Amino acid sequence: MNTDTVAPVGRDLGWMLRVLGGLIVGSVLVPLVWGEYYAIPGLVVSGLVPITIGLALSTAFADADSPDKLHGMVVAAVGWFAIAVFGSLPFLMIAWTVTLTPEGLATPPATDSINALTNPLNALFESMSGFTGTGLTMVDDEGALPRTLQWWRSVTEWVGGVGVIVLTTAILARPGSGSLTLYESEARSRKIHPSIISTVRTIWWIFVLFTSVSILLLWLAGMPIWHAINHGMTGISTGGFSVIDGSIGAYDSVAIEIVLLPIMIAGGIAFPVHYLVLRGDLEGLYGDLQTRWLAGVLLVGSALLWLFLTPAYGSVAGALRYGVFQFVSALTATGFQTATQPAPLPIEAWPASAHLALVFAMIVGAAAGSTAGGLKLIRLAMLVKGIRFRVSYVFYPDSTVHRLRIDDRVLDREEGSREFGEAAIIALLWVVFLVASVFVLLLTLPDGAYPLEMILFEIASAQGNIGLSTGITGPESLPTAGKVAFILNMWIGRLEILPIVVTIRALLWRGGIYE
Amino acid sequence: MSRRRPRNRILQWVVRSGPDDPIYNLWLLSGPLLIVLVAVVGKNAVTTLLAAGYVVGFITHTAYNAFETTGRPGWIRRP
Repeated sequence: MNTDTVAPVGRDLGWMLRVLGGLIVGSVLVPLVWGEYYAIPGLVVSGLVPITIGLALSTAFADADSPDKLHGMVVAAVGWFAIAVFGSLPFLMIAWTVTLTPEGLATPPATDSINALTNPLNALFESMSGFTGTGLTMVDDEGALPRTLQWWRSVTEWVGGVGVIVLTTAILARPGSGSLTLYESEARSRKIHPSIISTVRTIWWIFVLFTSVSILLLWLAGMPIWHAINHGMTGISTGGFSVIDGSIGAYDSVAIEIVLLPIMIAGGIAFPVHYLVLRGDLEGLYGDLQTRWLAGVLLVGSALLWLFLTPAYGSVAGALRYGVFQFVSALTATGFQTATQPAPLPIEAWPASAHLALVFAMIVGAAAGSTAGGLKLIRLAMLVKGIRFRVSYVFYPDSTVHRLRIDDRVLDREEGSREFGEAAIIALLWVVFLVASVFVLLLTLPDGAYPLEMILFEIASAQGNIGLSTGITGPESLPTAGKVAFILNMWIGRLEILPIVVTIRALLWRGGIYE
Repeated sequence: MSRRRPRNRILQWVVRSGPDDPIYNLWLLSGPLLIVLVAVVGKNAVTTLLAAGYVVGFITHTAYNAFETTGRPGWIRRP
């Protein structure tokens, strides 16, 4: 990359690292409250490293030009990876503190979960999973983690959730970019405010309000307050990290599961739509194409999963309870799991038809402009309508004026073809990366250990930033190559591929490799 | 002065960033305080009532707001 590109990217990256460092240092409050004083030195050092590097970058490139579309995408791609790398430091530092038991620090006994995080790759996996809102974990028993690390995991998902809304509603939504076209076609140009800063402010406003409501709802449903705080944060951000072994299934509480359904669905609706509803525009909710499609896919998918699961559970009520929750969790990319022990049937024992129904939900995802992952419903709508649009050419004379209607937008032939092409390219790239990881896992997992549908399930879960697991993901069960592939899948999935492709092109072309 | 400034900043942020509704602003500010209260005091009749009131109040106000606002606000931009 040339200096025109490096300078704005360096400055913005520097600011991102400074904010990350501030978040880590600010988290010192948690070990102080819980009496985990041994975690404080590690947390402070973990925060000072990104602050120092961030200060150096933002000072060195203080006079850089204003960022343009290219810079925005490169900052998003490079920044997300850098945040995940530096965000792994608290895991590493605290895990090593507990393992090395330095004199003067009253450390707790090291558990398997802590030991796993002493491996830098596992720590990076955990951090990337958090900041991308995935929820797959390298920790066997989340309940055995220090409260400080439980908190840090939740913070990564909460902050990452806001990050992705900002990415889709502000950074990718630039004039002339495909993402804006796609976003406009769906969200009807409802950028919350004209500038990124005010968009970030408004999104935080809504996010804090919804998080407070979620936390208090979960507490009222019977969760201990610490669990409610963490699950409220990871629920509304559709992240899915838990503070208890066995995820939501461990509570075995219908009330908690019912309360989590609207929280997960709220996270899967585009945040500009929430803003419209809070302003009193109810039509913003039911008039939005993505929200309507979300409702339709949720209803049909949950019913199908219920149907597939009824014979396996031998109970209509049991299949309804677990099927609906898991489908909502998969489609909204939350990844909370109820089909775990002590549930009657853990998810890995579900029939292949149920696995594939969830794979479909994980690939499709929820609304663009929400915290959800996957391809997003706008692309599904565009692909379905676009195919019909292209096929219709054949049946009409050339002189016919073709129009593609997406929500309340009417696109002419050229616009329709361009937007359909963009959606198709992203969908194709999504599948290409998915298949590449399938090969990696098939080559590295023990022969015959897992059937293909379970491998597909796990990778769709990683790349769709979902977090549901059939048991393949784990510090021991997932080979090193698989962990690396999953880290890349999570990163690619979160950024909706395009910024990464743009960054690679900028590195190769502007870096002079082809010159 | 130095103690008032940060408080004002938070209030300014709340007022400027949200949907320009004083009730939602109040809800936004009181939510974290209520969570801290629940964490410190624990579960009893008062905290349960306050938390339930908070959630019911939010839902009721949102529903009332949505059904009461007839006509499309002028600030919504359509392509």
